[in-house]
Amino acid sequence: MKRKSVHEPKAKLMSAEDAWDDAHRIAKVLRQNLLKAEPAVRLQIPLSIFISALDTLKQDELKLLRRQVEERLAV
Amino acid sequence: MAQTKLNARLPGVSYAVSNTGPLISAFQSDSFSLLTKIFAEIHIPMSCVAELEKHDWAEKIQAASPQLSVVKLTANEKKRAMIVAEQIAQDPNSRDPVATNHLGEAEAIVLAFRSEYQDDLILLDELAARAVAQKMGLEISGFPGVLLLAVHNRLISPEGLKV
Repeated sequence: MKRKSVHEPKAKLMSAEDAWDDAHRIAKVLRQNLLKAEPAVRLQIPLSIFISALDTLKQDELKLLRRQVEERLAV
Repeated sequence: MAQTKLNARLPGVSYAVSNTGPLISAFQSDSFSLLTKIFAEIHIPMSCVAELEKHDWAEKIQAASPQLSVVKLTANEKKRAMIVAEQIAQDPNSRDPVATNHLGEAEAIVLAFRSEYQDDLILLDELAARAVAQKMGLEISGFPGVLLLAVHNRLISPEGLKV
């Protein structure tokens, strides 16, 4: 692999404790933002119906859905 | 590099404003896609693009688009960034007293103060910049914190973190 130059080699970096606090801080922000989203309506439909409904979605709608699913999986 | 057109934000998603260091760590470890599993988009100021290009990461910036957006600061924001850069240079944690060497972090901090990022985080690894950003009330994280959360959320395995 080609070696690249180092950015700010003299800079002081964080401790393991800082990294742990950071992880908690990110989780808190992600959770707060999810809670601020529009309230979800719980639909009582079988999962198989929901999955088959995906066939009716257009390409851009599927991409939007994928991003939403990935966001939820990341939390 | 041209400024990226910003997309409309989906409800509930989080963005991150980033400085150069965390992005270099992500590129070096091939983890940019991991960042975008946690944050819908990463936004950086132009000065960070210049720093990334200086360190030979131009190709990675292109490949990371559209999840990596470049934002141009206004003249007023640039003036504020210079003041923040001086604060970073003078912070007890700083090992570099030259303010202009901290413009990347300073511009990222000023950018993070825009109203559209009020519910988001700023990614900063350097202690002096983190101290200044925290004093200013920003929610911060470094790249190691992103990796720890990714392990916790099973986006990567603990073994993957060691490699």
